[in-house]
Amino acid sequence: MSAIAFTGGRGNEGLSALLSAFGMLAGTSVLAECTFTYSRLLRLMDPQNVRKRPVPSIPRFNFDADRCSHCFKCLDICKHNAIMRYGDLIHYAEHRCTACGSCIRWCPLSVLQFEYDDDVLLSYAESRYGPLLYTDSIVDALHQPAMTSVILEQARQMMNVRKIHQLHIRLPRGQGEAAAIAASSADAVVIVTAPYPYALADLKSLVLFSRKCGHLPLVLINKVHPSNIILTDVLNTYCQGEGIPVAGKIPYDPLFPEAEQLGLSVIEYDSATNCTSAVKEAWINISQRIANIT
Amino acid sequence: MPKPLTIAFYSPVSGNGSSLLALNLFEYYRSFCESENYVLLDCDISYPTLRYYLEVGEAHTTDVYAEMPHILREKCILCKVCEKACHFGAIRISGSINQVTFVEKKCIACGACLNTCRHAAIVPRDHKIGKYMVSELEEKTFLIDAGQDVPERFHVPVIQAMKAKAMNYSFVIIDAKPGLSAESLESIYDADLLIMVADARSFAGMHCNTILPDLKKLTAKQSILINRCAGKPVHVHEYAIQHNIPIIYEMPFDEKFQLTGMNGEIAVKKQTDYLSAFDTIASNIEKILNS
Ligand code: SF4
Ligand code: SF4
Ligand code: SF4
Ligand code: SF4
Repeated sequence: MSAIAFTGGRGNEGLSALLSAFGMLAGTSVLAECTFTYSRLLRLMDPQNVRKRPVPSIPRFNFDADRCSHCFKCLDICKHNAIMRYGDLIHYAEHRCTACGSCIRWCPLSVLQFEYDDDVLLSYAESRYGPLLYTDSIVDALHQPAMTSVILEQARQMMNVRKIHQLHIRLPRGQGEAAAIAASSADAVVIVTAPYPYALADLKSLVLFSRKCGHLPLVLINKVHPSNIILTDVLNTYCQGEGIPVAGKIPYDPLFPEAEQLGLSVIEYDSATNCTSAVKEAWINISQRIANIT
Repeated sequence: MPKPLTIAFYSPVSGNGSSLLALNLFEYYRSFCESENYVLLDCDISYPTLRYYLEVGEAHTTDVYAEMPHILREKCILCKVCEKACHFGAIRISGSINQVTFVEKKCIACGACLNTCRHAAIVPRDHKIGKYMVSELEEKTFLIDAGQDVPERFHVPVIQAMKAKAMNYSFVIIDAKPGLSAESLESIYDADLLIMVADARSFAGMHCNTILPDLKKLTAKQSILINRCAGKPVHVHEYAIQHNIPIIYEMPFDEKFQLTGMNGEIAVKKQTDYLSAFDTIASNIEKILNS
């Protein structure tokens, strides 16, 4: 059994398109989609037979505007600027609330209450590449580490039950605690970069991040084009200097957006072009590396 | 001081090209529209992008603080009330060493524990939770962004501090953090105009119905800019009609525009071909703001 964690940096690197192609090439695998935004990858995966299950969360705060008497006692209490006054009305900015509960103690009418929210749902689905786990609920940064652990635990159970040997983890965006939990639990980390002006800075920080999580990463350089060959070289040279294997260089190709528009991986869309052979070669390199590690 | 005009570029999913559009519109306004000064606010703390496209001058750094508990062990009677109050496991009372421990790395500075101790054993203490930088770009033109090292649990308060700083300027363009979580909502909160960037190719796959009510509560006015169009983006139009949000522009899929972006260039600065697109965008923005 092996688990590969993929990360793409800020989101322009084309990771979703590559992951769907790798899913196709891997045969059957479990995919744990841990990005907590709407995911392009999900569209490419085309989840079927979706089942949802609530996941226990920390309390949310409930403000019942209809019952508020506008006494404004709660206003100065909130240190997080979540309660504001607009004219004669109280406005509650839920996204700022940390559920500290200070305001509850002041509200004479108990308009402010805690409630445990079971809106956070974990989705189990089937895709043409194998089982898929994700959430399309809104999960704030504060709750992402816990949610990531739940997704990964369920994905591993799924592997056992269904006797599937490969797990692909799409890491949460960023390099915070949630991403660290997921990367540390994997056998290898693959960083997809693309020659953007900020790419070297991102790559350096992602390499540091994956080392902290216990891995020497593999790097894939995507979107290589004659006009960005200098930046591509900079990325390549950096990897060589650090002893980081470059698993492949994939050309910039309008084939990717065309395939995405149809909801297909690039392999399904047209399997006999330069860019698809580069994708296949990259996948062979990644697989070999994983086989050596595990 | 009057509140500045604030325009926020936002996308529910990363990789829609909203940073590049924000940079171009900023450059357009800076060159052609009169304002006392201009500030560009990069709220994507996990991955600050904008500075890589700009010539960033000297930076002035401001630290952001929040209150965390400090426990006075001599007063503590180990009643465990504070341990229960903390939803994040940042206060632990261990039986074996018989004392209360505070785990700073887990604390989100919510303040719940500060209310609970009946023995005056918890006092607030300021901790540095992050920092942001104000850098001069050109005369009267500034960039505000934050260091990548701000832990995610403090993104909302740090973005709040950055926005408070931006209120001292007269014209603000915000590049929001993509997504739907609290940090993204904080980046657009209270903006005069939201520009939601929709990628024509991937929009069909998004479950958009859940997004809108929030957006209308969070911002004064909303608009949609469709990016990378090839053919008519039917799904985005349906969405716009259904929710009554105007579309300010349909940006065609243009390889040259994409590649200028990859090469770290701001298209309207280098090539006049794109000026007319931003002329239209700016005049549509004005119409919406005046409506
Ligand atoms: S629970 Fe705390 S953060 Fe939330 S509104 Fe009340 S005082 Fe503010
Ligand atoms: S304390 Fe309660 S009743 Fe008074 S303004 Fe706040 S929410 Fe309304
Ligand atoms: S401030 Fe909040 S997170 Fe920090 S220790 Fe107290 S209750 Fe826990
Ligand atoms: S609530 Fe106060 S007395 Fe009780 S364990 Fe916490 S610090 Fe100690």
